[in-house]
Amino acid sequence: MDLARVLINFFRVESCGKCTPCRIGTKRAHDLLEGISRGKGTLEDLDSLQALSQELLELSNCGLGQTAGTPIKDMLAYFRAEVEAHIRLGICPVGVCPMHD
Amino acid sequence: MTKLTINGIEIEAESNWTILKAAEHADITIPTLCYHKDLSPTGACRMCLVSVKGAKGLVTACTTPVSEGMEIQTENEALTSSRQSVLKLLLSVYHDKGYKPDETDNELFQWARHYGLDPYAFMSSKARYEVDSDPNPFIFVDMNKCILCTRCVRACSEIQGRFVWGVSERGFDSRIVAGMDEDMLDARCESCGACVAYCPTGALSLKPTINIGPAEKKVTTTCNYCGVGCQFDLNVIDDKVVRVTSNPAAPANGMHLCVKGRFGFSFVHHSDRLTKPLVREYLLKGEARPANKADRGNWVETSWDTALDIVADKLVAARDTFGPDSVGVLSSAKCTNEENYLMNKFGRQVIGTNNVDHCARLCHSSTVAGLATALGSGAMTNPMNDIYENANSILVIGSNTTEQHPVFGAKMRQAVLNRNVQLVVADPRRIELCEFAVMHIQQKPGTDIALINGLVNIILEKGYEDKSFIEERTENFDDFVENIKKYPPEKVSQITGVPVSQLYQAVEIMVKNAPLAVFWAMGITQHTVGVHNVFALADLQMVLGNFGIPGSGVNPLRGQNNVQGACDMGCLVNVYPGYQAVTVEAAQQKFEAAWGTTLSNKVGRTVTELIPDVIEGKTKALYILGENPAMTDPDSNHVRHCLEELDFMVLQDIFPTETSAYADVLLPGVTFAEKTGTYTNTERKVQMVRQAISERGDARQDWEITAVIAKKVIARGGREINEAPYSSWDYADSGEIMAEVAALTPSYGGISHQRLNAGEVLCWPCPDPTHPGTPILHIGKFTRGKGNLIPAIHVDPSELPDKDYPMMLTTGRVIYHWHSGEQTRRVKELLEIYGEALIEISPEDAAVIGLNEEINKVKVTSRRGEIIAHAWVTNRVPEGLIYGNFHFPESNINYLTKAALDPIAKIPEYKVSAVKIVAV
Ligand code: SF4
Ligand code: SF4
Ligand code: SF4
Ligand code: FES
Repeated sequence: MDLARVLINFFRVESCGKCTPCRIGTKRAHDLLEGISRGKGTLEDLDSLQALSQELLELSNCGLGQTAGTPIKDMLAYFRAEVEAHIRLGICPVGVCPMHD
Repeated sequence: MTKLTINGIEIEAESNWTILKAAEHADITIPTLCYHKDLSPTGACRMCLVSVKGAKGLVTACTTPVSEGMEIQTENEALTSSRQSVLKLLLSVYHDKGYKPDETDNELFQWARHYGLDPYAFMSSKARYEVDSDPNPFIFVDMNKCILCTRCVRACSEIQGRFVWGVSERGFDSRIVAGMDEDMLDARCESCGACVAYCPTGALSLKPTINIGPAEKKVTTTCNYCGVGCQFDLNVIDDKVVRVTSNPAAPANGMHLCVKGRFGFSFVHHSDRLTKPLVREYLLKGEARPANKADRGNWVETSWDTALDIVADKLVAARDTFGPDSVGVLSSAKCTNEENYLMNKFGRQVIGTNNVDHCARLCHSSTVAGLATALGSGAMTNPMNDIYENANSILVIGSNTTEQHPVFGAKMRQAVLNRNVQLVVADPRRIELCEFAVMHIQQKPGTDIALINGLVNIILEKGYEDKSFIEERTENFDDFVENIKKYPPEKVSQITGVPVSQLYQAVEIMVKNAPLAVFWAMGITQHTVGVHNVFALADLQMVLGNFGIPGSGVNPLRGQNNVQGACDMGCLVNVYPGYQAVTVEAAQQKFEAAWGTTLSNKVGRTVTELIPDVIEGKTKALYILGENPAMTDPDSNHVRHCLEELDFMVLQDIFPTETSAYADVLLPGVTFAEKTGTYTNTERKVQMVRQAISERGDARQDWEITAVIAKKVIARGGREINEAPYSSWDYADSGEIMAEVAALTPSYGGISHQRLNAGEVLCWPCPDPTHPGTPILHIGKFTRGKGNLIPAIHVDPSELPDKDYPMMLTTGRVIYHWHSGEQTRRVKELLEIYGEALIEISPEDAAVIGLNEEINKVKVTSRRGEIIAHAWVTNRVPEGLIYGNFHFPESNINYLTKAALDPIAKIPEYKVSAVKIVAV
């Protein structure tokens, strides 16, 4: 979960800003992951993240935006339980996220 | 040809088309936001994604080329959902502060609604940027509505050639900034408004009318400023013009406009508008005209009938007492063809004089005379778009095109940027266009003939002339060459101040990049050798064979919106409409038969003669339509003195002007927004002007006023006018006047309001109703048969600097104002941006006379007068030369200019006078 946040932050910062999905989508995704890491996530956020990762892949102009969704997609596919722990239990199972502001 | 299918429909496309273009041809709409057909595609917004069978993922229709066998799907559930995603993302950063927008043009909203999204439900509640963040008086900047489509960036660089907008930062922080994140005007914005016209979301809008909502109606009409003849839509609410918007179908300009066209309309509703006929008190008391204008009493409002009866009585009195030639009729290049035709008819038929003239005398009479003699037709030969597409080099001499014909200036910049056209500018000033030129020839004012003849001399020396063209299509070559021999490069260099090597280089550029198109304006015409200047340029193009082919020709840029038309309509002292000479018996008989009266075959007196002739008692009465000689004619002090001495002047105008102080009757006419008729642009395109709002107050249609005066004068007798096909003055509307014009003017024979309203674009000559018009002149043959190579002879300007008046003065206009300024000085924002006359002076001369931060005004004195104005220290002018304009009454440069006339065209030498200058 923290790795996905760090990676999405990388893409957000590196986005050139030309195309809509990458410019705004990476920022939205990063905001959502930030929220989860601070204990403010909701389960709907996970649906939004799922959709964003798909949009980044399909709609972006270049490889940067197209790749940006992958960490989220993989996170949700392979580490969903860990992410849900942040939301439903209010804990970070690996003890990395601050879980508060 | 490439075959493909879109949504199952088979389509044949050109191989250089994109999917979007192929779809457009099949009437299939693909949603777009960052794309605009006038701009280069960028593929940024991702709205136009479509699915292509076999492709990896979706592709953008606006940037993907077609290929054989493509199977494209433009609408399906998945695409709808991805477009909704894009729209939601964009709306999530879109914030509307709540001022009343004109949503009808908001493409983001349109597409959101199309895909079932309520824009207000999805937009952001937080502003990220300051609203109205730029002080530009015309352009309202609200980056909260920006979707970063970069259409503004591309419009400014690709259409206006100005490179004001750019994208700063990256990623989510990306934002549109002017220059180095500075104010637009500091980033060299010219306020053309192109960026606003292309912005799809209202992030950039028209500031003067930001809060008034959508128009009730839009009326397509033609700009009333310059001869480019841009068309646009007047937006009307509650019988008022509230804004101007681009109309993509406009033939001359497309979406583009300049600052005056887009923002200079509010004068229409200015409180100074004349709305009632006004008559001097002495006239109502039945007294004789007091010699001093101060004693003529106040203006008194009267009925139309009273005012027009006085006018008719006075004109009849002058005509019958002193003869028809004591009356002068000054028509207006601001008015329509129909109105001009009537002024010509009034002078010739009703009064019986050829004293019919207008301000073309002061601008392009030398062009008309020069080209008519050399080629047989005194007009621009090639349309601007043709030159943009086909010329390989352009010579601009004596035209500050980007300021005076801004939309054509922008086209020239585009030609350089997009087609690498080699631009040579010849101008004593470092005008803006020099930045785009491969060469700036900085000749001394008044040495153009020497310069051009010198170039031709080199062309002949090198054997670059087009021998077969000269042989087949011209005459008088031998005499011509004799004269050219007198202009060897060294001597030319001495006269003009242009280095010999530059003369040779210029020739190489122009010859190696044929075809060459030549442009000029007042820098060529307003000289005592104006006609010879024009000969020289026509000669140059004949020697190079640059006539009758695309991208070539001689292209005088006519100043006023309808100066071409006013000339075409016979508002010149020597010709009837269509340049049929008053001295040719057949023409005289034709118009006598048409108008049912006898006509004079004596060439009339020009405006530059009529006014000074007042002193000799030869001119007694003037009927002036929409002209302002007290401001625009040279040597203003003398002009004003002459006007004061007249017996009678009736002035028909929209505002009280400097000239109206000398008038006896003032008749309120209407602005372009209130009338229907035609203007003929500098390319000879005849275009409709359409009434958008009703006449203000009691103001009347100008053509009606002239017609009523005509009827009243005729009714008073004294001149026999018989029943004839066109003797009458009963017209139902201006369309009927155009029908009369067409019947009597061969080159307008096929022009009618019906055809123009049906959307036809017609350039004269257009001899009959099925003729498509003639965009390019002189194909295969000159109008006069063979082109006449007339020797052009250099003569020094009539006044050169000497020890008493050591500086040279040249004059012109600035982009934000128009002529005597009666309209543009009544547009608040134009005044905000350029509020007083500035005298341009070089840093060297400024240092000599001691200008600095505190002392920044200059007093300029010539043998005729003096003015005081703020100085603008700039290297636009070289040492020894200053430049001023005639837009402001208090510091009008025409107090200084000299009424030295070209002997043929009678055009004054505005472009050179000797002055002295001190800091004050
Ligand atoms: S108004 Fe014209 S010059 Fe100014 S930024 Fe916009 S497009 Fe460029
Ligand atoms: S200001 Fe308008 S035209 Fe420019 S990028 Fe933003 S939305 Fe597009
Ligand atoms: S270029 Fe001329 S015609 Fe066009 S908008 Fe400007 S002033 Fe009007
Ligand atoms: S319209 Fe094609 S990407 Fe914007």
